[in-house]
Amino acid sequence: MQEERDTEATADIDRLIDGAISGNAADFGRLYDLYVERVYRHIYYRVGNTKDAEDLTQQVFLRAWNAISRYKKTASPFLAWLMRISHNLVIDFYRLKKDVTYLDSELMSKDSDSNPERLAEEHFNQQQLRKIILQLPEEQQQVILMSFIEGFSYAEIADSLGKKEGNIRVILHRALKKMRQILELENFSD
Amino acid sequence: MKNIEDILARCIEDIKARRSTLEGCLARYPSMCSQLEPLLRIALSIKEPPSFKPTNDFKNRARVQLMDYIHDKRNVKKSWRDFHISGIRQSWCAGWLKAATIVIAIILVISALGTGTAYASMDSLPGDALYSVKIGTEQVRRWLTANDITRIELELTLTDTRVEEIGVLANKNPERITLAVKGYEKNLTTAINRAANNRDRDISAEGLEMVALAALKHISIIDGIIDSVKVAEKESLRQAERIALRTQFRVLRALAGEDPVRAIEMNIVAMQNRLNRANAAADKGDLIEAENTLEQFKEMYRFSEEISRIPKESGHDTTAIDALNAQAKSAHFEIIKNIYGKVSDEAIASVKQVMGIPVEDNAKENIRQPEKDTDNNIPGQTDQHSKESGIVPDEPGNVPDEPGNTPEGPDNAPEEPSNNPDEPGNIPEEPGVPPEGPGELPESPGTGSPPGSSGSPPDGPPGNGSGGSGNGKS
Repeated sequence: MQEERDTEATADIDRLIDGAISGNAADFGRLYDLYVERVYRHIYYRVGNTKDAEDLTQQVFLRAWNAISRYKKTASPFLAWLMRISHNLVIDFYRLKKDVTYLDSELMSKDSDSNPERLAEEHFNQQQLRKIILQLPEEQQQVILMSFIEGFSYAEIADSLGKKEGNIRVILHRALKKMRQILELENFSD
Repeated sequence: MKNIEDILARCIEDIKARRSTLEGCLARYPSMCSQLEPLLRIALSIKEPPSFKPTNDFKNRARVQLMDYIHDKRNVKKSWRDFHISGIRQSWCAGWLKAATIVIAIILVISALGTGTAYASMDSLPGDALYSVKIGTEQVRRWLTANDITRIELELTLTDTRVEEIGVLANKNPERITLAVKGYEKNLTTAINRAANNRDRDISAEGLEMVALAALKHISIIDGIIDSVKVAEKESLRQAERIALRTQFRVLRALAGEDPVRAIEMNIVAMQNRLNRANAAADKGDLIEAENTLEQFKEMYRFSEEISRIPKESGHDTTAIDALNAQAKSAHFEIIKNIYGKVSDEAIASVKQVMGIPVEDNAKENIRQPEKDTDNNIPGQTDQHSKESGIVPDEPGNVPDEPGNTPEGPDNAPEEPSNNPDEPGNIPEEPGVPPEGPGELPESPGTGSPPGSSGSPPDGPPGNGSGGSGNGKS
């Protein structure tokens, strides 16, 4: 039953994508409704403040509309394509704002955990991890975020980034090794 | 699977899918344990961030801006395409006959201008001796206009002229207002038909939205004229207002099939204008006008519910629409609270009833507030939408003094709702709005008759009334 519903939802999304590719603004608007929160969350994680996250999220959808006629359905979902656009925009954003570092910006947690100590520890760990992830080379960042934060499969990430699945595993391994190095350095300096 | 990369990836997948544990994985690959363990621990500590959600206000605002961007971009593209089509291919296809017609028309205009008659007729009003010359000149302008969108624009410009005439006649020769109202209806109907029957869906949709915006503007201007005349003349002016309202319903209903958010936004602005007017009239002590305007609001509210059902019934996600409606309801209720006590309790009660707000003792000050999204400031948002999308709600009591003295004209009004509207010509007609000719537009079975119309058709030319086949394509 769940599978049936998923199939229906996929078919519906496919129909919206087809409509958007053929220039139907209303269908694209519905795709926006479906994905705006995911895109925003991804960007917010990387820039760490509402204003830039909102601005970049808007730009993602404008870019997506401009490029939708070139979009080709592949094994990766439409969201992966939006994530790729988001990734490129975030890279451009940091290139333009070289003098500004957002690594220290705090992600405001809305977690409703009632245990303040656990919440604080968890918050600290996630902040630390986020800072480390944001220090990774761009490609490694993208693979880590798509895999662990967005929950894409390796095949979907590979398809989205135009690489082979084996390459994604290699990038993942390098990313985790790099994270370990940074973590050790930080612990050492502390 | 031999290398560390593959083993690491497999372990992460298995642990995430709960097919294995960290310890289980390490036990499976004892020789790689020292390499795997720290990496797996880091990998598994990366978690989804807490639920960072954009505000509804941002989502709605960004959506509106996105749609505006799409429509604006398409309009630019279209103008180039129209240039090529109408300037090159279409003119070739039209052949000598069309060229000859244009030449003759130009000669006629030059001749007319030469005698000064046409020029003199420009200020003539319905019933004047020179008025037929003015109408003839307008016909020549139609002949000279080849581009479909420009033809719709021209027709809407002519509706503006008719409204101006109504304004002048209201103070000068009120007995002739009916003539101008008939002319207004005719021009408006021609504009709708040109938009609805266009084979190009983009042009059709864009044209319909232009008509809706024009009607919205006309209602505002006619409000101002109604305020400036004696009671005896008001009724014929209300007739013109009813025509504009019916037109708006008809066009927005068609638009709702393709771009429901846009259609609902426009209707919300229209509703807000009604409430502001009712409030202003109530402040001036004009209870008849205030209650009459509240009736119009009720009709628009019902219509809003009707067009909101269209995307729901076709299974589309209606989150944005529901949010818009909820915000609008809250904002509208704020205005209604201002009117409370200035008009009869019955009038307020009936409005609340239509809105689904519990009708309480109106003597109490604490009217219950409908559910409100705290993330959003509705009136401000509507204003923002309006400014960005070319629809500006009227300020309470800020009615243009002179007809035609309005902030926007058809030129800046058009905005494209979608490139994929319903079949052209399949737009249900509001009762009493006559089509241009037989078979142009089918009539709807009497839904959405504006307040005060009592279901009776206006005095204009008769509609086809056939409930036609909708073969609007020519």
